[in-house]
Amino acid sequence: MSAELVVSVGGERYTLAVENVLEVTRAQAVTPVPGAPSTILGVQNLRGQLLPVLDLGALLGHAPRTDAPCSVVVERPPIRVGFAVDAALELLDGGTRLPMPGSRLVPDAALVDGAPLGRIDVDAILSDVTGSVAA
Amino acid sequence: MTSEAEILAMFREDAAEQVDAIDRVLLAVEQGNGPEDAVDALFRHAHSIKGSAGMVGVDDAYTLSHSMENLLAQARRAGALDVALVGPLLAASDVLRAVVSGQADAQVVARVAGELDELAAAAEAEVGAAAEAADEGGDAAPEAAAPVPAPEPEPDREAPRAPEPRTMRVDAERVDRLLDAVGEAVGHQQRLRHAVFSRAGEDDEDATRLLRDGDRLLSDLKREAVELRMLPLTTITAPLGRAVRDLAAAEGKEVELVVTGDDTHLDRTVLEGMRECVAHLVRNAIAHGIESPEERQAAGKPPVGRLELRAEPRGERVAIEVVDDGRGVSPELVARVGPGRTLADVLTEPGLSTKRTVTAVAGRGVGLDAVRRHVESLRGTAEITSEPGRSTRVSLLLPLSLALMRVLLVDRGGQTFGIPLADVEEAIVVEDPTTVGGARSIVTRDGFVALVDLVEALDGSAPSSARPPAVVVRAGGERVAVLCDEIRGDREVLVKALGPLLGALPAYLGGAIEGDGSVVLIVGATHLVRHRGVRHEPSAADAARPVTLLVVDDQFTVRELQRSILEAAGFRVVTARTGREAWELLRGEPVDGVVTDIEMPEMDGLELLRAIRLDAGLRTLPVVVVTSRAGEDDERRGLEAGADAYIVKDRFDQQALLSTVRRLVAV
Repeated sequence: MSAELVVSVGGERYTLAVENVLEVTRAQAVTPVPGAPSTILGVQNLRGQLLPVLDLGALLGHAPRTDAPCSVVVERPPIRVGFAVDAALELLDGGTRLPMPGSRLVPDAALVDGAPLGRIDVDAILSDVTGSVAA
Repeated sequence: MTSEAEILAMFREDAAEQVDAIDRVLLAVEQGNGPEDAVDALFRHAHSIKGSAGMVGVDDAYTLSHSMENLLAQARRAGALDVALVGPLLAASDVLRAVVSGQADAQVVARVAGELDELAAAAEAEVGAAAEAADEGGDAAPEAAAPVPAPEPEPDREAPRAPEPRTMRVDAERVDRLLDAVGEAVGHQQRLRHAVFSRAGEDDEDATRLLRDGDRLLSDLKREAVELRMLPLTTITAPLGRAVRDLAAAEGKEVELVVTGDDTHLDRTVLEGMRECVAHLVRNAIAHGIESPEERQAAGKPPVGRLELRAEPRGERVAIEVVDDGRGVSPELVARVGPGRTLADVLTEPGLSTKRTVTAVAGRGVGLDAVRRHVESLRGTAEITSEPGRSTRVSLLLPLSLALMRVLLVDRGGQTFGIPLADVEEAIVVEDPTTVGGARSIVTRDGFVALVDLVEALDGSAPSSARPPAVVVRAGGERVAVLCDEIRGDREVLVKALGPLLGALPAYLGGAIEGDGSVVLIVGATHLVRHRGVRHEPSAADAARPVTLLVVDDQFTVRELQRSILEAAGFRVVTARTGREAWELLRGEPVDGVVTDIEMPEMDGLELLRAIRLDAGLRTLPVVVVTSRAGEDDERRGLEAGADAYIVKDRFDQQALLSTVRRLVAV
């Protein structure tokens, strides 16, 4: 299993495959985009390019937020987005996997100190969001 | 270090341009208006292809261009290009195009080259005979239908040559990166100004002068960078001459294509999408507008139809017009035009384009809605006028550049938005709105204008202020007054794309980054005008049946890949393995669009396409052709057979497929 980034969202910890992560940016203004699905917080200026910022917590079923204290920039060409999270915590290397067959967005979890950290399926999340914009 | 593959790619691109140029000259010669130096020009192009083909080792291209050059050398000696040679030369240029794009069929090349060599030998004999006849003072000069005078043949090295423009090829992405860097520098300058003034005060003359110089330098730099993205319209008009000729021949019609203003420059991004649109309009005009020679003569018109393609700058915009002198739009449809309903509206109404029989009678509207949607996505507008029985004119008004735009900044609901200044007529204060025809309106000096709240037009909400200011915006011949909280003034901005995710939202043209690093969304005038007084709710019927696409490919992987991409984007997908399967499926099941491969067993993609276009019930069905063959010839054949768009598998990416399908199928 490749390295994963542990993030904290909506009071829970999750992991994201590091191969999908470009960088983590600190608090930056997010311009709301009226008309976009509510899970899209808005756009951020990422060194001169516009970066859509997604409410990762809301996508996972937590309470919606309005700010982005921290954005994890994720790329799955041609889409590049920021996931708004409370914090990016640490890198995790492998470990025991628990499959979570019923869950589409979080297909498995890693056991860390006895606590399961759900691994977020970036592709599944992005295809949900893409679908909601197109609809 | 340039790799072999890159060199080959450069050869292909360059040679393809030369082949296009050969076609252009040949067609002009055929129509009797070839340039004076036609023979020399053709010779030069063939010679140049031969030279580079030899260098990169594309032997077939070398052989063929060598034979073309031989024949042209005889024409030089004869002093004119016999019109009878145009056909064989065009055929050879077709093969050459295929060779250049990497689809060499050595046998065909050998055959065509052999034919050219025979013609060259015959021409040589004829020139000899003619010279003898001329010596005798007889009138047996070669009987060319329209001989094109050519200057005395001179050895290349002595021929006076126009200075070649010095050009270099640069990857388009690097130009975009340059533009981004310039945008960053402009933002930095604004922050610098702020920092300097807050320390030194605004009356520090040295600082003020230095900052002003910096502004000027940056604005020069910005303009130059933007112009790097501009390309002439010839990029898309060049292959049209050939397409028109072949299409007219296939339809049994005679059509003269007149192109003017194709040296007009447009932003590369605008231009790329216009290729399909213009091809579509031209195809419509020939297939449905221009009548057969007999019909034309019966109507008292000259037998040869006239198809005009004009381009001209109009202020901050460029107008591209396709005008034909054919039968025009039917009077019944013209009669439907009324207040708030232009002919373009009538011809692109969803009801019309789905009622296929009506469209067929109208003879227009075929894919016109797709053209219009695309033009509007580029911040342009489409207008159509028609004189039944006499002419149809489609005018597309496009922005010169998508990158650099003057916008009017307005505040609404605590957020700043930009509106393209080119679409703004005036700013007003709304005193006492009235209700006209159910819509809140105000009176301006040009009559009633419907009011629309900016935030509501964007599907949001915010409390409104008393006596709010409004901006009167015009698009596609319609006006609307856009309510906001405050008008902040205009600014020139670099427009950044919102990206594949948010690009699907129709309201926004993009975003701009302010000096302080914040983002301002740019709202399109077309969206605001369209939004006036109506809130579109998808009907229950729409929701019940998802948009269905038919994917046709004989390869399992390709088929499944496309299915998964399209299904992920919310489409319903049915598949077929051959053209025949697809055809049977189409006759039994309602489908909103087709994505098809070209090469397939039983019935190939082009046959399927032709069958669809010939079927009264299916002829307006959007069809996207996907193929592994990256030949311009295939693209041309595909588009001629009636494809609405063409995607090459090597360049295959999800986004291209999705955006093309979304553009063609109303979703």
